[in-house]
Amino acid sequence: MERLNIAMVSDFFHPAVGGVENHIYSLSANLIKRGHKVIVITHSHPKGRAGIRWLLPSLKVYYIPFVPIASSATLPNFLTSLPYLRTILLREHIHIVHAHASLSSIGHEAVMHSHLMGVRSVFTDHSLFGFDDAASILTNKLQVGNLRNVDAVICVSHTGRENTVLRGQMFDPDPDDPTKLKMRNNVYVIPNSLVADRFKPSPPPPSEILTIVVISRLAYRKGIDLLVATAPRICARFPNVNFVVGGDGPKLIDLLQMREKHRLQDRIELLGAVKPNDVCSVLSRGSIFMNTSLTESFGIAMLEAACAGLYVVSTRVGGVPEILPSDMISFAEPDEDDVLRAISEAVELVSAGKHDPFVAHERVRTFYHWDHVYEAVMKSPQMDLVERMRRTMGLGRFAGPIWTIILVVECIFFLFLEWWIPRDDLDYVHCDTWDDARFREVSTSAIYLRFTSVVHKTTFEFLLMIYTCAICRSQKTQREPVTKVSEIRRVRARREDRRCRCRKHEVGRALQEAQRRTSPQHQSRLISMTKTERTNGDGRSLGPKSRLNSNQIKTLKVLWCLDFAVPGNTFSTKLYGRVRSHWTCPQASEASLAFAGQGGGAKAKDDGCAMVGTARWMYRDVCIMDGRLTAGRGLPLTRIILNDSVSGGRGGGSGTGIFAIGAGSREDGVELGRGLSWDWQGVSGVLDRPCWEGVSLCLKGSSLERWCALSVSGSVRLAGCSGVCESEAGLTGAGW
Amino acid sequence: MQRVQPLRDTHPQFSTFKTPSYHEFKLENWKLAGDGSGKVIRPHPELYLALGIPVLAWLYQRLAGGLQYVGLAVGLWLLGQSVFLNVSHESLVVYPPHGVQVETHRGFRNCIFSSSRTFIPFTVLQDIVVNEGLYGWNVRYYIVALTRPRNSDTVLKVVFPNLLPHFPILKIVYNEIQMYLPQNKTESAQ
Repeated sequence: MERLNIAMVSDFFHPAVGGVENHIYSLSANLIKRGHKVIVITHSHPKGRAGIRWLLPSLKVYYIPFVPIASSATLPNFLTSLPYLRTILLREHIHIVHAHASLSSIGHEAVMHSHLMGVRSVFTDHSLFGFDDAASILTNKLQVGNLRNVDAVICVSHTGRENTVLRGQMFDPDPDDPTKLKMRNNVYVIPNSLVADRFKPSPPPPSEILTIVVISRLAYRKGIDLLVATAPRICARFPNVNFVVGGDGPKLIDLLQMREKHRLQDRIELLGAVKPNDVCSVLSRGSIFMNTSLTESFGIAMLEAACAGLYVVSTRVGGVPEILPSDMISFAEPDEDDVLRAISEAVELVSAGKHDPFVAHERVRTFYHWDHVYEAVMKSPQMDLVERMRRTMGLGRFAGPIWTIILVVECIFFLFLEWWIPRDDLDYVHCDTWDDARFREVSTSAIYLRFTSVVHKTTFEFLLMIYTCAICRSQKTQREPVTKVSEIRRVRARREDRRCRCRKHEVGRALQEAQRRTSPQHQSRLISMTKTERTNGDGRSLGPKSRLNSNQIKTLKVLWCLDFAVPGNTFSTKLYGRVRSHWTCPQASEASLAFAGQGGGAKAKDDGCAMVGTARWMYRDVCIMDGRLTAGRGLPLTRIILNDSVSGGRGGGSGTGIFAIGAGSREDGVELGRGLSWDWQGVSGVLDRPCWEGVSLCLKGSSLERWCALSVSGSVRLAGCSGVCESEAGLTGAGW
Repeated sequence: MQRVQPLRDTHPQFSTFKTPSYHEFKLENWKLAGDGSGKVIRPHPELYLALGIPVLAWLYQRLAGGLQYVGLAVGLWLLGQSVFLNVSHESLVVYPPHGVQVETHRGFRNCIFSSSRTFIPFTVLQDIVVNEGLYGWNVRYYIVALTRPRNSDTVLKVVFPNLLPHFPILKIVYNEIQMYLPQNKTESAQ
């Protein structure tokens, strides 16, 4: 069968826990294992669980932002989910929509709207409902309308099928004899299944004590009241019988009260909520499983217990009689005395050793396996709109027109959506980058890993990662916090050391290159400049040296040299409108050049500042320079970013220097504060407002084609020697 | 060192420019017509101006007194927004030793009115991922930079926030940017 894209739609999905949720997940996992693609559409849950998430194995879940009203069910609203469904079904190229649970309005809507997009629909009904109470009447009415035009219905037991057909009025007049009614032939029974390997029996060592296990949601419909009534009587009748009760819910209080009242604390053990992976170990503590539900369309808990080798005692309701052969289960009417009788029977049977857990496990293994009716659905032709409307009108005198009007409005809304979000504007899902074989491998093993958290390390080459996984990864690399000041300094020094080791060498190398390449007179000037400016960390001046080694670079006030990526370019450095020097970029791609620039205002010495550092042109008019400045607070600055206009081609306009100051490492939490001052070669600056590392300063003067705003907190004015803003180191590049 | 359009047939509005010191991914605000005819569809904010001014004039006549000015102001503001805040192009620039920068330029192609740039240094950048999210009634892929300023909670910064390109473009950006991210470099070094 060719690969199908299936969308499971239901209000009931994880993180809520329950039978329907497990069913959907297991079914999806198995379908993925067989090579189909499955997505799940459900409503969002509180605490931010809205959006798109992934579960193993490659199951994508869409959490649509609808608010549930009661126990995970949302209000029926016929058209509000149409836009979301349309987008999702189209972008994922879905072929079949599979809705679950009668109380799930998003499921019903999916069935209702799927025909607009040419998608087939299947509905699975998981529970039994009555006919005469208010909730049931409403649910049934909605269900009738929807199931009129669905392509297939699946029920989990024969009782369930009977119930669904009657409630949903799934019969049509017999074509041969219009007075008779014929049931539609697209209702199937597929019992729930389980993964037998997860429930291997490991019976407790033989002893006098017989343990009865009860695991269920402690809610009214699970018959906890019956349990509360019968447990003391069982304990009184059989002194060697103990109870283990797992699960949580509103009826836990009743159990606790009962335990208190009859002083059965040592005979009844309450475990509270049991994690799904622990269910098997809880089951293996006992030899009898007791289920007292008042209504149950299938009862997978009993199947799991039987698979784990326990003998089952249950109330005879709903679909329960269909699931297990009669020698593995004892039935009782939902009435105290009858339950007592059934338990007695079970206790006698098990004490006599007539129930073999391993044999039972092997038998249950063969009972159920997944199957699907998708093939039949895909092969059947889809009905067109006219027939659909005709069938809908036949629902009843009032219901018919109402449903037809809804259908018409739905079509109009759909046309509006086709205009509002056109199909070629949708972001279609592309799966060609994913490795199918690898998925299959992962998914086969993942069926046993239902809720294990997804750990994405580099083993997964997935392009689309869920957001939380990315966070987990970043949390793993968190550094431990450093508290003491000396520690901070030490750590900072270490980090800087580690980081700027290469940079030092780089700068040193660049400098040496620069020195080699400059013309002799410039070189001498350079040397003299650097000579005067070299100080070590505590301000003492070092002797002159013709070559600077990398250790001293850290303490030099400003060292700039320029790195030009484009060899062969000729450019001139122009300061204050006057061309200072011409440089030709040498042929090496990362050559460095030194330029003697005039930095600062009128008071600057006549080409007195050697600005030798490493600068890289970032984008024509941005260069980053690594200089070392010591700021007022003793914080070392590592970067100066000079942003300059390139006026090449515009007749040499004056460039205006923009300085961005890089602080030390961000991890130290170093922040440049107000009042930070620097001074280089006669130009000093003061930050008059706090800024982040890398700040773009104000621009004055010529237009910039591009400037690099490396800041988030606004602009800073340089109080240069000339007063405001600007150390005008203009650089013109011819040929750019 | 030339501007390259990696997806010339389907998405020519996306281009990359690579130099040794930076690598830019630029996305312009126009697209090809979906029917394959090769027609270029540009947003025309000046149309709003052309249509809006008569409407404003009519409203001005109809409203009385002080309301006229209010209405005019509101109308002009809305028009101004649509013209001046029209996105011309957005780009993601990677400066390999330093970080990445997310830019938005508003205005027209020849005349940019304003640009806003956000620089994310590699020390702050945790990762760049492509994710999909609900966007109104739609579901879109988006590429996002995860940043972690100063050991506080992670902050997301969406790249191309206004233009929100489709997946083929994001795939190229994602693949090419992987080699620049520091954690990939350290991993490959190990």
